[in-house]
Amino acid sequence: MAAEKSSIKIITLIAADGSVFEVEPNIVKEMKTVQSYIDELDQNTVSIPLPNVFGNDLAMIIEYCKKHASEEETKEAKEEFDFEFVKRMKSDDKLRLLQAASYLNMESFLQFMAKAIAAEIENQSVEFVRDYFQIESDFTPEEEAELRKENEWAFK
Amino acid sequence: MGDTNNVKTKRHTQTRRLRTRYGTRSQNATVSTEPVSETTTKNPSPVLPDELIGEILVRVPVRSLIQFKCVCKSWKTLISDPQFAKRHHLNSNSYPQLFCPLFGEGDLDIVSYNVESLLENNSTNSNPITPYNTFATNHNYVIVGLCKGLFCLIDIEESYVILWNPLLNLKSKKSPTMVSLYGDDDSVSYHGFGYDHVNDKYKVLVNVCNFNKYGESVTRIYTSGENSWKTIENIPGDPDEIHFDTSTGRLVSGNLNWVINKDINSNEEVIITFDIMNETYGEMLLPPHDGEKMSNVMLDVLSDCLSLCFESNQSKWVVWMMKEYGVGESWTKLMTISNVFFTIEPRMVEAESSDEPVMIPNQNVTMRPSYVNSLFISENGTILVNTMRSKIVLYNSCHGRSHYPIISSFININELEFYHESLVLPEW
Repeated sequence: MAAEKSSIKIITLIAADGSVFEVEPNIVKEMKTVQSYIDELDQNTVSIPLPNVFGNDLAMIIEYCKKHASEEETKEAKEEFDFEFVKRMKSDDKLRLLQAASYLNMESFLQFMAKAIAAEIENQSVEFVRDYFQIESDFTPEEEAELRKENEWAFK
Repeated sequence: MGDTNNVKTKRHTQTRRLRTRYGTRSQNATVSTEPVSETTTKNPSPVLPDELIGEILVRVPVRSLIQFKCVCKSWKTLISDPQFAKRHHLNSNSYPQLFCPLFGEGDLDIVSYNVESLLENNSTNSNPITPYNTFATNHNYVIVGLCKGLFCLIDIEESYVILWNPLLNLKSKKSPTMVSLYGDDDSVSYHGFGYDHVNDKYKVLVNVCNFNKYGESVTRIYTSGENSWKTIENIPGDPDEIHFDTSTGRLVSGNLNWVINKDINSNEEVIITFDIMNETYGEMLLPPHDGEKMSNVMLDVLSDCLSLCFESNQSKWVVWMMKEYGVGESWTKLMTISNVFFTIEPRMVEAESSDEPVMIPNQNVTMRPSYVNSLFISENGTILVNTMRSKIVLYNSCHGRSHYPIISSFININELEFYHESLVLPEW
């Protein structure tokens, strides 16, 4: 299946902090934002600035894409990788990677990250969630007390 | 693990600055093909737009979401949005429960088990999900069906239907009542509940037979948002003969399905279908069965497909699945399970050496189930079935092994339903 676009050998991704990553075309397939950029060009090498993604986040995304694009890896190995991948991330990392996935228009990676965050906050307290997302409550203490009372059973 | 605390205070300003500055940075960038080590820089934590918050929250269980309404006003608005409730329900496949509402007179407890934990724990004791509300009722309800986390219940004596979301503990304000057709001889033979995605309507269907006149029956339909019941006459099949255990229509691809005798003078069984949106009946054939004697046929839904379980030649149970709805050629035999796994004779305990299958104490134990209700099938081929009388069984067709999850002995397992919690409001 020699596609027309196969003339592109290496894609250079430039992160917000200036760090540069050289990757093969199959690695960026899932990054629709990048892919649409490549599709418009007809060159051997492409250099793409990604102003909304930080270097160490991009490194992780590329690592994820490499693993998932690999045909040699078994489904089990990929699942094991996913598990470890999420495990070593802090909550900040997850939020940034979710945002990066949205910016890069990576559908399945976005779902994967959203699921990882959902798993982390489920069954946690309201206070935990506020802290996690850096959200300040805009309810008055009375409003909040009433809301909690209304849904009392869910807090048991 | 690095130290993140020192950057927390300037998160937002940092994000904005980096965004506007990128263009000129690429020229003097360092070249690297290896991932940058995690310790080089600390990046700010972003403030996510509502759209991404939504992506996360559709994957959070309802119970947590109800608490998270207190996080802030925008979260409360998002979680209370009916559109969000629908999206959430589409995503909530990972949280199925075995649910038993224990209807009857008076206040009764609701018991529910997480299917995942039943599968994982095998034969160990499973704990019900708590808390669940108590359902306060003085009525004798029968479950017409469930869909989108809503139960549709019918009061058999007073012939009205209500919607109920057990998690939110909300009942519909309206309770549409069916006008009697045959007076005291009204007899509900089969029923079903479904959702019309195109018109965003719930529909309940009740087939009523004349208890005194064999072969006389009509179907009544109530659609949410309308104030009257429609009547459909000249309906296919012989509803008089349908067994109570199989009277609930199974909802697949916008159609309700029942197994029923083809006509009054026939013993041949067919599947009758009812298209929720178009309100039309149809008919489908059962899987091919080369002279095999099929008895006690029960329809179910497994992995969103119509499935069917029947007893074959009184020696084994066979499970089929219609992989593509409405396509007869797509009937696929999933597994054959020996009768021995479903009976309660002591010798079957020896079939499993490492674990200890324990029986549910039940005074009215029958030696063989009359119907077998397939509830769930996991990716590795483990099927969860309800024998309807004495116990539920986990059976793995690859290993030919069975387990018997222990659930409360107070549960009338005839009433076990496969349920997904939802935020959908019960409104007719």
